[in-house]
Amino acid sequence: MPEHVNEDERLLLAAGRGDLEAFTDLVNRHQAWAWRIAYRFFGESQNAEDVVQEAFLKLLQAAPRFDPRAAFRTYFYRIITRLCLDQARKKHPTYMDSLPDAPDPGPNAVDQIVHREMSLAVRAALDRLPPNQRMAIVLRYDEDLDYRGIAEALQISTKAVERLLSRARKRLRLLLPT
Amino acid sequence: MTACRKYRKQFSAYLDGELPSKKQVTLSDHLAICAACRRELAALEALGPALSRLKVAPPPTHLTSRIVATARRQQAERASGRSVRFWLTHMQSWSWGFKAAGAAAMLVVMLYFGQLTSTRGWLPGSQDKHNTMMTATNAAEGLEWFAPAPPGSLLSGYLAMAGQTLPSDGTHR
Repeated sequence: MPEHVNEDERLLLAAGRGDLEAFTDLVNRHQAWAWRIAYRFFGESQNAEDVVQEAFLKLLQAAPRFDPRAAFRTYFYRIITRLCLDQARKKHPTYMDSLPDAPDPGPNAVDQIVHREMSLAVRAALDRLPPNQRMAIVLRYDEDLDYRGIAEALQISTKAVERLLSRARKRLRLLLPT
Repeated sequence: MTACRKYRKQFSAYLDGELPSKKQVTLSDHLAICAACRRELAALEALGPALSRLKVAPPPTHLTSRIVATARRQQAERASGRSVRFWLTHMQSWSWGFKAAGAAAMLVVMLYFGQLTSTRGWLPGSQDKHNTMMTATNAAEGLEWFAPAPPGSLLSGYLAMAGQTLPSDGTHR
């Protein structure tokens, strides 16, 4: 095994040999950010849960063919973003009337209402974006990926990332009153 | 206004710090003199805090156990699938051997039943026994009428007058 292989790659290689303990460790290490991407993208738990599970199972299936020279995180970004986009293409977005999963924003009731209204507006605006633009926004704002990182995750050029983000912002600007 | 349109296309990359430095300088120069573009840029910049207002619910507590349980089940299914595939593959590669063995077995069975049902034995002396049996049968059932010179035929009368008998193969010398 090459020396530069870090813990994630080591665990994935072990999982590829059938070590389910290593796979469990991988799930525990990465489910939080996988969940964050899927939840931000769909805006609800059910699809997010299904996609995160599917992403880890796909990761396990692909593990025997994993090239340890590739970065685990980039590899997993590709899996999860593709699954999100596939799922979004299959299903039309649901415009939610409520956000039952959002945690309590603060002790003040007025603040809570304002926060809730604004969250609803942002969510509805995000849901109106085409899936690839929405995913680019999620990766840029929530994952803080640069254009190269987004390009690798979505397997497109950096120029295409620039166009996606530019169009997405333009649309959000129209949908969200400032 | 045409210049504004050109610069506004660069706003997104500018906000992300992905605009080449030369373009950054010219855009900054334009922003310094264009209030409309400054407002537009500020509105785009405000999207960041607006998007960050969206909270993310924590992942369900059962998520890890659900994923691992499904992985375990799939691994078991793949293992059983592999063993079935192993046998199917090997049976395919052994098919010529199976066919040859089957043909040999069939031949042995056919020969065995042929031996059982045959009226002619393979054992020494069985041919004489067979002939004796046939002669006795012919006599018992009056098959002498099918002989080369049946009783009462012209040939048998001629032969009787000449005091000769027909050889067993039916030829007259």
